[in-house]
Amino acid sequence: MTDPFSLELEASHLSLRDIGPWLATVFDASGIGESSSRVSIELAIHELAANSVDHAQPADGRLRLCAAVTGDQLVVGLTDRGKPFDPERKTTPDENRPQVRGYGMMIIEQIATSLDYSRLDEENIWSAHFVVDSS
Amino acid sequence: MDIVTGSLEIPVMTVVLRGRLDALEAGSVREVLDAALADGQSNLVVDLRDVGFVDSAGLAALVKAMKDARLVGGDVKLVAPRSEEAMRIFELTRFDQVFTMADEIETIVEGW
Repeated sequence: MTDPFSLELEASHLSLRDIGPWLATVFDASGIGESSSRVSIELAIHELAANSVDHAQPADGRLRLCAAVTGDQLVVGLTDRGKPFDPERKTTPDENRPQVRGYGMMIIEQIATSLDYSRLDEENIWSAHFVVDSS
Repeated sequence: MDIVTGSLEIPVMTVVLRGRLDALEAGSVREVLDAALADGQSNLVVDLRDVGFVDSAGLAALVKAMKDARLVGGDVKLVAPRSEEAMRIFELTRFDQVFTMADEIETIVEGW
């Protein structure tokens, strides 16, 4: 039986479209159901996974997601076996000078209550925390 | 004194998008907008009314076209997505303040 709280994806832009339906399953399986937060959280996780596809470029071509819900708290973990994330290369867009790229991490950090990163056993390990509205 | 009245019709090209404007589709959208600009169409309206999801790659395609158009005296203006979810990324990145956006295409064209 498939665990509704886990998802393994091919590291491709097409596969990122599986994140929304998976998140809906997580919400249903947790008893949250419909929530006004879901699409924002989907956007944040989508951006995190897109960073893995575009920048980490995992050698095995896979991304692994897992979710845990406690009350109104949702934690989503993402791991990949790609290149390590370099915080020094993270860009913060200048509000007064619109630029073409560099908004992904800004979007994640605005939606998530916290975002943690570690590197262990050749894996990038991300953990994003969210508060889920019950409406 | 001669008084001559007339009207100038500013050519405006419209691009209607439907579905998801995400990393998978951003390249195709960028190609269309780049081709329009290369063809001398520097006033573009991108209609996002029926777009339900926009990610940072999709946003980047619009921003690049807007910057390129403004370099040659034109602009890229947007018909806002009806979906609040798709609108969210513009608000989070404050591009709702950078792009000229309206709910109806006529409002944008009239205001050019």
